[in-house]
Amino acid sequence: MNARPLLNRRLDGLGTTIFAEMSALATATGAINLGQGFPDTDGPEEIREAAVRALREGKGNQYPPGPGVPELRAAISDHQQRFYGLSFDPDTEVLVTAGATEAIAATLLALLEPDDEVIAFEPFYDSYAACIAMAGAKRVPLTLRAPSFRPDLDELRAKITPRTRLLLLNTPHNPTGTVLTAEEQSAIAALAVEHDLLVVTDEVYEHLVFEGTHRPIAALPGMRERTVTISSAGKTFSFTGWKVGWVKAFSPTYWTRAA
Amino acid sequence: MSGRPLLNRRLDGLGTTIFAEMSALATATGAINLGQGFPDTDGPESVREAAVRALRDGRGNQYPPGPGIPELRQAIADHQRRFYDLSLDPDTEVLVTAGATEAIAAAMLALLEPGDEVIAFEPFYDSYAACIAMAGAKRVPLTLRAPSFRPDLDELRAKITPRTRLLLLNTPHNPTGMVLTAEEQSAIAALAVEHDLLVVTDEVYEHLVYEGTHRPIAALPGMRERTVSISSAGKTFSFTGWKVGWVMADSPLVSAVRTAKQYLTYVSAGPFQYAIAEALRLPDAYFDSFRADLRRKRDLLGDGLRAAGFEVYQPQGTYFITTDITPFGEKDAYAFCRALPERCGVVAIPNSVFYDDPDAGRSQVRFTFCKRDDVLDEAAGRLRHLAS
Ligand SMILES: Cc1ncc(COP(=O)(O)O)c(C=O)c1O
Ligand SMILES: Cc1ncc(COP(=O)(O)O)c(C=O)c1O
Repeated sequence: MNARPLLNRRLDGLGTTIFAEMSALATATGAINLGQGFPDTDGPEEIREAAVRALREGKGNQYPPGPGVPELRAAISDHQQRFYGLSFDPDTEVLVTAGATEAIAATLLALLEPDDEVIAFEPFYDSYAACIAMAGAKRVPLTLRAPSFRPDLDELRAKITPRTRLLLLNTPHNPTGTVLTAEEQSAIAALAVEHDLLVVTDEVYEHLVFEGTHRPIAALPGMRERTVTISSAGKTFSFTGWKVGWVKAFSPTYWTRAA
Repeated sequence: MSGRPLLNRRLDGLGTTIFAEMSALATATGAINLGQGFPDTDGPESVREAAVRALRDGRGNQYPPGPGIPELRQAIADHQRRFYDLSLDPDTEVLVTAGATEAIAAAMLALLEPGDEVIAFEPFYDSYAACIAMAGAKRVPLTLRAPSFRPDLDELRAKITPRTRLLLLNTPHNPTGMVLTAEEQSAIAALAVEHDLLVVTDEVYEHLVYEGTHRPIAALPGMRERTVSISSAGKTFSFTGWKVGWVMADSPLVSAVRTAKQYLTYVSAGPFQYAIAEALRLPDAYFDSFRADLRRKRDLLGDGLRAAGFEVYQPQGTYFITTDITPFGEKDAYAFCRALPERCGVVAIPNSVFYDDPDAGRSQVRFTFCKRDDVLDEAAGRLRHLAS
C-alpha cells in the first residue's frame, strides 16, 4: 500500500539503533557483549525486595499519580539536597518519568518549536538526535575531539545564533567519559544567560565520576530558572530494566508563592 | 527568563489532564473517585507473583531487548491466534511498549508528517489530541452523538480529503462504551482501502465487551497491511500501574513505529513483561469471569445512576458509563463535575472536555464502574441526594 514512506521524513535514517544491531551480533556469535551499557549484576537486594514489597502490598499496581508517587518525588528532592545542596520542591519541581529516555523526549517535545536550533555535544547519546528531529528542530553539533574530548567554548559561542533555543548537555558524557569542569560549566552558564537559552542536562552518570566531582549546572548563578536536569535510577542502582527516571526544574509558580 | 512561552504552541492548552484535576478534587474532598479508569482491586495473585519471581530471578532487571522480551512477544502472538485467529510473527510483527499510551504516541510520531489529517472519533481519549498535535498533524473529529454514539459513516466519508493520512479508531470506545459492529468495521475498512489510508486502532478494552463481540479490524480484507493495532495489559489484567502495552502490525509498520518508540522510552519495565507473558496464557475462565464481573458492576452502577435521576447510556463495552445530566436541569458537565464532590461526595469526569464540538457533549458525565461493589453502592446512595 501507500506509495509514501511509512516513516515520516524527520525520523528517516533513525531506524534501528546501533545497540540493537550489535547486541544481535553478540547473540548470533556468542561474543562477550561490551556494547550496551547495562550491568551483568543486579543492584542491591534490599532495593529489589522493596519492589517485591510494593507489589505484594499493592503499592503502585494501579496508575500512580501522573507526576510520580509523592514518596519518590520527596526522595529525589532530598537526594539533591544531600549531594549538591540544591533544593527542589517535590510537588512542583520534580517529575518522575519512564527513565531518562522519556525525560529527554518529553523535554525536547515540550520546549522546542519547529526550526529551533539545539546545540549538543557530539558524539551524542542516540536518542538526542531522534528527539530533536521529532520536535522538528535542528541539531547543531559541538564536536568533542580526541584525545581530551574537552568542549571548545569559542566554538560553542560561534555556534549560537538567534535561532538557538537550547543547549543539550551531558555530563558525565556518554560515550567519551568527559566530565565538565567547574570552569567549563561557568563559561557555558554565562553563555546561556547572555543569550537567554534553555539548558537541558543529562546527568544519569552523576554517581560515576572517577576524577573531579559532579556538580549540577543548575546550581550556578542564573541557571536555576533556565535548566532542566535529568537523571535516572538505572545506572546508579544497577536496575536499568526498571526505567525510573526524573526531571528537576524550576517552577515559577512555586517560587512566586514562596516569595 | 525567555519572553517566549516555555511550552511550544502545539501543546498549548493541553496543560493538565482532566484526570489530574478531578483526582486532586477527590483527594481534597475525600470523595469517592469514579473518575479515572483504574480498578481498586489488583489483578490475579498468580500474575503478581510472576512479577515477584522475575524480580528475584533477575529476569528483566536490566534493559530488556528493545522490541520487548521474546516470551512476551510470543504470548501476544498466541493471544491473537487464540482469541481472533490472527497470525503474527512475534519477531517482526509485535512490539512491546510502555502501555498503550506510548504505543499511541509512537504511532502518531512515526506515521504522521506535519499537515497530515487524522480522523478520530470524538469524544476522544485525551492523549490522541496531544499526540496528533506533537506530530504537527491536524485532528479531524468524527462526532459520536448520544444516545447511540454510532459513527455516521457518510460523515466519515465526507471528512476524508487528500490530506487524510490515517483513521484513529477506538473500539470498545472510551468514554461512550460504543463497540463497532461488523458492518461498521467493514464500511470503515472499505473507505480505508479506497482512499489508501492507514488505520490505528486502540483496543485496550478488547476483553470488556458485554454486547456483541470484539473483532480486530486488522482481520478484514485489505486491512492487515495498513492497520496498527494497539492493546495493553493494564485493563485486561487489572494492573494499570505496570504499563505494559503492545503494537501489532505488518512488519514495515512495526518498524516505523519502533523507530519512534525506541527514542521515547527505549524499553519498558522488564520484570512486568515476564509477568504479563504469563498473564496472557491464563485460561479462558479468567477472561470469562473478568468480563462477567464487570458486566455485573456495569448493571449495578447503571441501576444506581438511573435511580439517582441520570439519563444513562448503556455501554456495550469498556468500564465506563456515560450519562446525561439534563434531567437535573443542568447543562454544563464541567461545572457539574467540579461541584459534585462537594454536593454529594462523588467524583466523575465531564465528557465535554473530550470533544472539539463543545455542544455535542456539553451535558455528558462519565462514571467508571471498575470499583468494588460496596464502593459502587455507596456512590449510588450518595448520588441519590442530587435530586432532593
Ligand atoms: C547519556 C544517557 N542518557 C540516558 C540514558 C538512558 O537512561 P534510562 O535507561 O534511564 O532511560 C543513557 C543510557 O545508556 C545514557 O547513556
Ligand atoms: C482508550 C484508551 N487507550 C489507552 C489507554 C491507556 O492505556 P495504558 O495504561 O496501557 O497506557 C486508556 C486508559 O484509560 C484508554 O482508555
